[in-house]
Amino acid sequence: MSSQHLLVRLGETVAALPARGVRRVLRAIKVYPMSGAGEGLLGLSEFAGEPLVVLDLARLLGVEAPAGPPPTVTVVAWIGPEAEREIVGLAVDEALEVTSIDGASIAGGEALVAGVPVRLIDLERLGGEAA
Amino acid sequence: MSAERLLVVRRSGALWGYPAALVEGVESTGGAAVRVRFADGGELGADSVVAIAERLTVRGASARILRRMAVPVRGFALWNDEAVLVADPDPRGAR
Repeated sequence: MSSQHLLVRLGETVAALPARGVRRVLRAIKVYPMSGAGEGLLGLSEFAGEPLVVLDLARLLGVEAPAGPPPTVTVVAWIGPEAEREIVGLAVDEALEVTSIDGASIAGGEALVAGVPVRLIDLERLGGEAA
Repeated sequence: MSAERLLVVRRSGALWGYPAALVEGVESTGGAAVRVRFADGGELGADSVVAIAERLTVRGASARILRRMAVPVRGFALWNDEAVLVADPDPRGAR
């Protein structure tokens, strides 16, 4: 069985977000820093007239990001388990494409897409780890 | 999300929002600073009063987000292109 995913680039890493959890991809939105924001929390933005917390997806995943400009693309997505689902912005370096990933090609949280290893993101568990 | 009436003050460079209904008064402390008095008798110092914001849209802070905050907050809002940290409605938790 295959499912649709949005491929995003985080430095040298390619990650796949389940397309069903993605609401919008935005470029160059303004993110306002928040006092007291820690690791992985970039700040606050606005989406559909409401405050949107923006998280650094690479930091959440522990992906080494090369020195350079901060992520410029924000993926607006639902994260968390069904009962606690919330909408957030996930900052990434680039949104690449929407592609279908065959379940049979997934192993150890990764899949091969056109010969490239892609890290699969579980939006239900994203950011939910204990500190 | 909720729309709330908040007293927005600047404290140590950051904007904080307090439920206006819990604020009893604001008084100058002589210089530029102010002291906010709450209905329960509590007080807090602030650099300045920014606004009383009517119907500010507040996004609640989930446990997932709070885990990444160095300070406890109830939620977040935007005011004139700045992030507002919304304090707990219970003034004892807000200070």
